[in-house]
Amino acid sequence: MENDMKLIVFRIKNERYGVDLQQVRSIERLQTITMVPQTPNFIKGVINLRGEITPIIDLNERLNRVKTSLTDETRILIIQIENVQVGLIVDAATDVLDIDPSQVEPVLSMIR
Amino acid sequence: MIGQKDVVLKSLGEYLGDVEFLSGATILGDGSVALIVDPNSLIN
Repeated sequence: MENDMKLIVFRIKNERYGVDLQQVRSIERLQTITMVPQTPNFIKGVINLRGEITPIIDLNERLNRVKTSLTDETRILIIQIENVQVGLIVDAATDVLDIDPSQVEPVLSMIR
Repeated sequence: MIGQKDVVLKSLGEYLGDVEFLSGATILGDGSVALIVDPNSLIN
């Protein structure tokens, strides 16, 4: 379908999420993170990503205030939006999905 | 002091912006990141 959107499906604990593939620059394995002081707890620090200093956010900690337990499946989604690049630690990055954007429903306003 | 080195100062990027006490960061020869401290902000 012409209008299809591709999503990277990733997991935080038992919940699966999608992110627009166009915003995902790469998916990396865990690497040594250099802590940066004076930043919120969910910011784990920075990494050297092919010469670029990239901040890393623990997404579970950011959303749910629960630290990600690191395993072999843990991945860092490198997200780029305009001139901002960040890495998001997730429990796994499992699939690429083609979806019809019209199937995406907005979050119910009563939840917001 | 354990040594002296000329390094390239890199910014911490758009997301982090200016972090207190730091001038930026650099990438060392072994690929690891070293944060550069700004002594001025530490003592003022």
